[in-house]
Amino acid sequence: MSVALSLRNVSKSYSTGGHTFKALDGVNLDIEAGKLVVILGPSGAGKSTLLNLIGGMDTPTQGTITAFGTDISGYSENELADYRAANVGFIFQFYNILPTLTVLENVSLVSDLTPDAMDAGEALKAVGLEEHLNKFPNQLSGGEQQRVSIARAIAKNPSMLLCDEPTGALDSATGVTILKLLKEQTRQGKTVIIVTHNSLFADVADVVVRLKNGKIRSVSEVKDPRSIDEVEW
Amino acid sequence: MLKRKLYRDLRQNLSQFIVIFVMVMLSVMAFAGVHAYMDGMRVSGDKYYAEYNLADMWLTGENFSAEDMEKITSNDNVDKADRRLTVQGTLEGRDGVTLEMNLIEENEVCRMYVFQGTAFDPKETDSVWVDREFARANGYSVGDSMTLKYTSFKMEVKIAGLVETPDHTYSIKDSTEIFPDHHSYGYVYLSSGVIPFRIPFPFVMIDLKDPSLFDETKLQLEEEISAIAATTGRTELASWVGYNSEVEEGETYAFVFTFLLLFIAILSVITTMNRFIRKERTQIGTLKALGYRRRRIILHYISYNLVLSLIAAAAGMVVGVLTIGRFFLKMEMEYFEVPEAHMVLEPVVFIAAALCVILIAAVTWLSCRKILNEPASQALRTEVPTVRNTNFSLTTRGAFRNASTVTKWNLRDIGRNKGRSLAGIAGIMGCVMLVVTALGMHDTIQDYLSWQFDKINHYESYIVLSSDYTDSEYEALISEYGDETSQTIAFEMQEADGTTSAQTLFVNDAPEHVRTTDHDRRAIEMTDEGVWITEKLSGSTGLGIGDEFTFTVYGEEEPHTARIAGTCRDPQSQRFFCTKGYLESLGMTYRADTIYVDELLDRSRVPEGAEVIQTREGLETGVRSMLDRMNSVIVLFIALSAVLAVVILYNLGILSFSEKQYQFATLKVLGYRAKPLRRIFNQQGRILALISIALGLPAGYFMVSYIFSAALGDNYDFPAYVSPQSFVIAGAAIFLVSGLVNYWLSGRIRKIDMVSSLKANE
Repeated sequence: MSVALSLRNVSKSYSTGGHTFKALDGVNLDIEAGKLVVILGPSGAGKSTLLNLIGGMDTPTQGTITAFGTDISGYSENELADYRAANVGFIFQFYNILPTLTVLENVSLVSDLTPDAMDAGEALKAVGLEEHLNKFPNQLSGGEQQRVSIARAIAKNPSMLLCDEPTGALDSATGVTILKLLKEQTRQGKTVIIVTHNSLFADVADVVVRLKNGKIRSVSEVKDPRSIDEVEW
Repeated sequence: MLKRKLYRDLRQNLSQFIVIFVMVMLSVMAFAGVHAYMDGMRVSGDKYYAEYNLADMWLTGENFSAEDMEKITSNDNVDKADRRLTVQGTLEGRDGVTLEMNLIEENEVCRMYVFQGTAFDPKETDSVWVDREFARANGYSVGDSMTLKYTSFKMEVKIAGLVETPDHTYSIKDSTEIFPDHHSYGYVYLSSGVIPFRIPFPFVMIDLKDPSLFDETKLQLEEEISAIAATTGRTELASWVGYNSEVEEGETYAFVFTFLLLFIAILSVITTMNRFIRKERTQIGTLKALGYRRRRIILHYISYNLVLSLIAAAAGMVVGVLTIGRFFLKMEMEYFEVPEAHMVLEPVVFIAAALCVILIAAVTWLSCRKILNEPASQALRTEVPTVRNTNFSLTTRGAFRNASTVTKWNLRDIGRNKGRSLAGIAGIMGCVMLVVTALGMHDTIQDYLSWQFDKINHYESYIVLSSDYTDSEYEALISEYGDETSQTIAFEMQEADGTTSAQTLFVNDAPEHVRTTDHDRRAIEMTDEGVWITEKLSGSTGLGIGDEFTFTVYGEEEPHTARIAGTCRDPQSQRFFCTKGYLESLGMTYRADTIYVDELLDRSRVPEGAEVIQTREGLETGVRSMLDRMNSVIVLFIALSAVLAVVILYNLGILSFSEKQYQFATLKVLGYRAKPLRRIFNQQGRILALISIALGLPAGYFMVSYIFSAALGDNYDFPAYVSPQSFVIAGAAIFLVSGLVNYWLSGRIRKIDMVSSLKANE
């Protein structure tokens, strides 16, 4: 398997009111393509910061991030936008879909960004929302909205899906459905990185990264991940 | 602790609160400033008229004897009466100066306001009381001597006082002048004793005990005194009409402009405050959850803007009076002579300012109350936007079904945020209206002038003849200047209901120089078959083509009957027109009072048998001064609307931007660059601006129309006109300002921090 992401000595500091706070401190990490990676850690551990840096939403204060063979740590704003458009699909805890666009339009939105984009209808069919194409987000349940978010992420045909607490706002049954959808993406060769504080996710992951106080405590490969249906959520 | 929160919130939302301050201050400033000088003019004028006894009634005749005066003063409704002789004289050693010389016995009616010197004394037969403005313009002061000339008669007198009188608030040489020229024209008062022989008194000024009984008193006096040729009231006095119509016109447009400004500003401030409170939702919920009482929370939020808007309104009033009010009152007083003219702040100004403050506080209270009515647990959560599918049928099934996603998004965003969008549209529309109205007022006056000077009047000069010119003088004049002449006849018309009304007939024997125009401003060739009546007069008298009416010329006894042969339209005089031939066919004698000439004459060289020379150039100077004055008002309102437009657009842009910030952050995360996102933001600004302009342009036209229909006196009849260029300028200027403000605001998209924006939304 090839390395999708490689982080070397990555740190991220924030300055607020004269104080400097180190959210990430000398992180070294390699992530192989096509794996389901779960990043675990308590609140304030630096999980979201790490996800933002990998996703090109932020730049490191120090260190290098190599994504799919290219160093993105010194990218300009526009280069980062292009990197996100081409390689990254984001899924958020609160979906972040645009309330004034229909389900289909929300997904079609990304087709302008990349030539390899999937048909929006196909992407929605893949997440089981083909019946709701012309509905507005507020006419959908939380789980359905998250599925729109996943459809939007996969419609770009990205190499990597980054998910920040994707089931945090959902009931357990809906959470399982979402997790299955994400797991399915790895079978198509996509790297899926999930940031969560829910340790149950570790049982279904290929790789588990544990963070604490901005440092990596452990990186463990799960030899035989359990089926999502087997886990007691 | 809440105070500390208040200060910090103010600091954090400084730009929004500055906007509120500027809006309230600017609108109150315009409202207070314009009202202060307009109300000031009205109040100062009324006070002057009352204290210095402006006559309620004027009697005109050949001569009013002492016996006539006794009869007049013995009438139950007559309080005081003065008779006088008024002639147009000249000043020795000053070419081109005309002086209205008033010879009086007493000064009980139309009393002099003495600025300097002594009060009028009929015994002082070698003294003169001089119009203060004329003296100032010509360097005369009390104690100076001057030699007054009337025909061949000379009077050497000493200036005893510099005065102004209430029947000369608007003092012009004749009705064709607009701008008073104090260098070449003034008025003086002399004791009738200055003339060593008996003089006629053709005018009597009467102060009535009860002016509402004018008609009854008129009938009684006309029955008793045969010398009366005409009885007129204040509404026929050019000075009173000039001043009052200026006040009325001013009050109409001032009301329209300032009310519009106030409305736009309040609307915008209310929207801002409503948004601010909604932004504070979770904090209000937190305070409630912590146990703060409802009243305390509401008071806390009301105090944000109460002090701010109070200071802004007070500052607006002070600055408005000191700048706008002072500037315009000074400008008006260059036209009018009203001693002690001062600004007045009437209760309406305080009420408007207080309403501003109260409305803003009320909106804050209502917005707070709405949140506080929810359970604390619910108020702690961010507001869930409601989107109804039906609202978007236009974009899902309607005309915009095939529009780009971005256009659909913008249209739906506008539909979803109806309050903000409507406030934006109303605000920008108001600015468009202000600009169109300001430009339209200018265009309308230009249009009227072009009608008057290019289509009706075709002369370079005209000579007003003396009332007593001799045949030989007339012969000499027409042999030198040509025989294009006219006569204006004042008459009393019998109305169908038995009452009478004062009218004028313009006998046109100068068809090459003075044209009569039809409804579409085309020249009419009048025939000898009857009289033409102006459309407006036709409407008010009910006389139409083919109708006949009976009239009696003032000073004559014999009535005549005339037939209406056609209708015409005149922008500034509502009267009857006929040819010399038709007049003579009625058995009347034509006696010209004006000669029209193609060449530019020297106004200071008045020939024998003539009284005044007026030139087109002179008239245009007056008109230009009037337009300059109007331009100042227009510039002020355009400047205010521009500032307001920028503030409103900035304010709405900020609101719109902060509401969309998380959506832009999401799109940035998806991989959108800043440029296409700026395009999205700018597109929405353009859509709103275009809707507002589309609504504002016709609304502006209706506003101009309203102003002219409400403000113009009965004599005027010209429609509102807004040139295509003005529409283009108004639309383009607002579109440009809107585009620039949005472009500037959209620059913030580049700075959106995706991480914190998305977190904030969560």
